[in-house]
Amino acid sequence: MKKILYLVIVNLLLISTNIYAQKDQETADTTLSKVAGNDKAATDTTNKNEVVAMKADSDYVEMADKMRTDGKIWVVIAVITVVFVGIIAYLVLLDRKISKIEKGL
Amino acid sequence: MKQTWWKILCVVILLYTIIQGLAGVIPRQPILNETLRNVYFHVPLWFGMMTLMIASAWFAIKYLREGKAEYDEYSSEFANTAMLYGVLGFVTGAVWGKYTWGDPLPKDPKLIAVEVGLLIYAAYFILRSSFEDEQKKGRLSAVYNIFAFAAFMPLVWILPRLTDSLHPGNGGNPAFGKYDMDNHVRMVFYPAIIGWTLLGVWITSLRIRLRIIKRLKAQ
Repeated sequence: MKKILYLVIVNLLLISTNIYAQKDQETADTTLSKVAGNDKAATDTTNKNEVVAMKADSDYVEMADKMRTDGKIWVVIAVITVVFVGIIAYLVLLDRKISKIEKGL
Repeated sequence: MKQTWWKILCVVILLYTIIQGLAGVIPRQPILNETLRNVYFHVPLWFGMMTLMIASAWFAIKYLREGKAEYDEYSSEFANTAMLYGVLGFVTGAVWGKYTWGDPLPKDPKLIAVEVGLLIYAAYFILRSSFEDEQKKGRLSAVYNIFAFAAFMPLVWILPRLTDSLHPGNGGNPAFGKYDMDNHVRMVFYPAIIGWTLLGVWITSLRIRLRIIKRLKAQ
């Protein structure tokens, strides 16, 4: 039972990191295509319009950007918090194990 | 020691320390820059170590007075966690010093004193492990523990103040007084001391309980 719970938690963590990675990939892709589009735009006016449209789109899409502002310090805070919570969870589990053994004595 | 409220308090305070300590407002200072935030993580380790050493010496005295085996266990495990905190404080200080003083281990009286002090405590564990007889081990290491405590305190907290030291609060510098800290910093710093100390006590309590289980099983 416990093992299944651990597996589920690990899976959730993996999935969530995957989603974040994908999102970052997407933003990187759009910026890349923007740069490429700008180069072409000097020669091709239709392309330029597309770029403008794309830019306008990306400007107005609302996203949860809090983690990406302030020099991304919030990402560091999140990482340290996760590490700390992990250590504390470990201590709590150890505490419980010792309590169980104490009861058995 | 088996209640949970102080453990929860410890976790809440430390989460507050981490989040507010990294995101909160600090005074803008040259050289130090954002490294002032280390004050929430490096300095409380030393304060926590002090508290653990006081507890260790306290139980050493209690063991000598009453002779109960568990006091010897308390004393040695408190010294153990104090050692861990001391080493962690030393390493974090070296990292901090590298980027602010320009040298991880400058010839600073406080650093040398701490090196000597930690070696004195390291000798405590060697002394402990060199006895077979439990009573002899307990009594001699309790006496040595009191000596180590009495040597450590003036070495680290008094002698560096008589000379020049890079650490604030030594050699005529104001302690973390008017220049380094403002009230925003204090709002995190003081809880951080309590939080890290409680974490040390928690780890120690786990180790003590393990020791007691081992002793009971051996009987």
